[in-house]
Amino acid sequence: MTIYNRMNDKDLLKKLNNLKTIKPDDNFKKNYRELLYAQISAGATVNKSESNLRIIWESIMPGKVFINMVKPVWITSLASVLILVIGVGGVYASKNSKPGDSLYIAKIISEKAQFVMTFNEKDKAKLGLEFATNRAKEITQVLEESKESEDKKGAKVEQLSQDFKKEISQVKNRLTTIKKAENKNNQNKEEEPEVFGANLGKDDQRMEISEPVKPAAKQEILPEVKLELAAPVIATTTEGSLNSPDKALEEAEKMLDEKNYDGAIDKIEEAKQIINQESENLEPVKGEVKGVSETATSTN
Amino acid sequence: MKIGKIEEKLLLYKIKKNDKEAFVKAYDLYVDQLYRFIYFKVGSREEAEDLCSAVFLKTWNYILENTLKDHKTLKALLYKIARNLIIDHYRKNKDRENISLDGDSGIEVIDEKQSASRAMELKTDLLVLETKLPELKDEYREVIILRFVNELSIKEIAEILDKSKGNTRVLIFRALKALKELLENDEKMNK
Repeated sequence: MTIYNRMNDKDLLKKLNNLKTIKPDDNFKKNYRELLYAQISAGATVNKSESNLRIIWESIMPGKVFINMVKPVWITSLASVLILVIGVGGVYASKNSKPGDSLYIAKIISEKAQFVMTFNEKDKAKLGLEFATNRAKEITQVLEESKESEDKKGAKVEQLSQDFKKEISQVKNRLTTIKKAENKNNQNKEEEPEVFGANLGKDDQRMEISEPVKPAAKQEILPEVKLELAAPVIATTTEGSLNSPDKALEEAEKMLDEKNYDGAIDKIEEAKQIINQESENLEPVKGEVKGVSETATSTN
Repeated sequence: MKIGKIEEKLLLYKIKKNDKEAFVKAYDLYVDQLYRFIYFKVGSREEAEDLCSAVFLKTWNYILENTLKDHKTLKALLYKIARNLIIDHYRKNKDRENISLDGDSGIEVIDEKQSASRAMELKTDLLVLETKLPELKDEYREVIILRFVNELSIKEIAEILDKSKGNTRVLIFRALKALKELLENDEKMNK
């Protein structure tokens, strides 16, 4: 029986695998091993054997690759942090600077940046008021702290007053455009808010009108509370008419001309408050407040 | 002697760092299979031994001169260098076109427990295969030795031959088929 008779794929592979028994002579292997070691020792530099753990770590995360990967990230993050720190620190330090100081430019730039980054017109108006306040404060600083000659002081104050007026006029313009836009909106949505507000007000009124002889204690307490709530709102409805921030600003300008800088700052603050209240009144919560004020006035 | 993949990677890493002891260890690991590969290509024990020793020395020099960036495994590098040396060897000995394996191939049936008849059968089988292998096309013989004798993976063979895995599989299939046909033809002639 020859091998071919019983040969199939499995047998063939098995027999091929048996060719593994073909090996070089042991003497040759041993002799050449020594020779090879001698040959490579003659030319090669001797390197210390490294631990396997270290090799595995280096092959998983080769040091150079890791450093190269991390380098740009670190540099950019460090640079950005540095820029941020310098920027924030500079702006903070420049807060109380006055014309002539080295950081005054930083202050002006930060103001302009703030202005550019603000998109709401009302917020821009508020910022303009803040900047005008800053100019007024700077004038007082220049007058109080500066050891310069009177001429120089006068020039600086003159420049700051001009800037102040410029800011104020810009705020005025902005306020008029805002009011125009609001008026247009009010014309369009005339019905909805009134009905809503009226309902709330009537509910409270009915309660009080229909039961006037109710226990006295309750009646006494109610108007007091309501009056307290209503007081600032009344002020807004009387003073907070459409022109009142403009009036406050005009007064501020006048005070600046009269060199009453603190008064001018107060007036600007007043104008700011009025603008804030106006913007609050525009929100839906306004209906409730208005309703309360109506009841309060009716009880009076 | 077999070696795990991680062990082989560690060995290659050490060799890349010019660790000569690691290289001698690699010699111990791969000398048998490289010798076998060369022997089936050149057909002579002496020439196989000479070429085998040349392969290791040339590999070491190659490692010293190069950074070994292209080679993922040491085994593939050794086989590639062996193939190149064999090609050079053929060029030098152009007269010898056909390879005939030595009569005494060094086959030793080591297992003493085997019966004498079984041992004889095994030796006959091997001799037949040995005589038929040189009749195969060179590339067929090469892949049969690499795949079925030295038990290299398809991936390793593909790397050594610079072929894709798919091409290597096809080549192995064709080589095996050719060997079977040779053996069947031989059987018919004997009948």
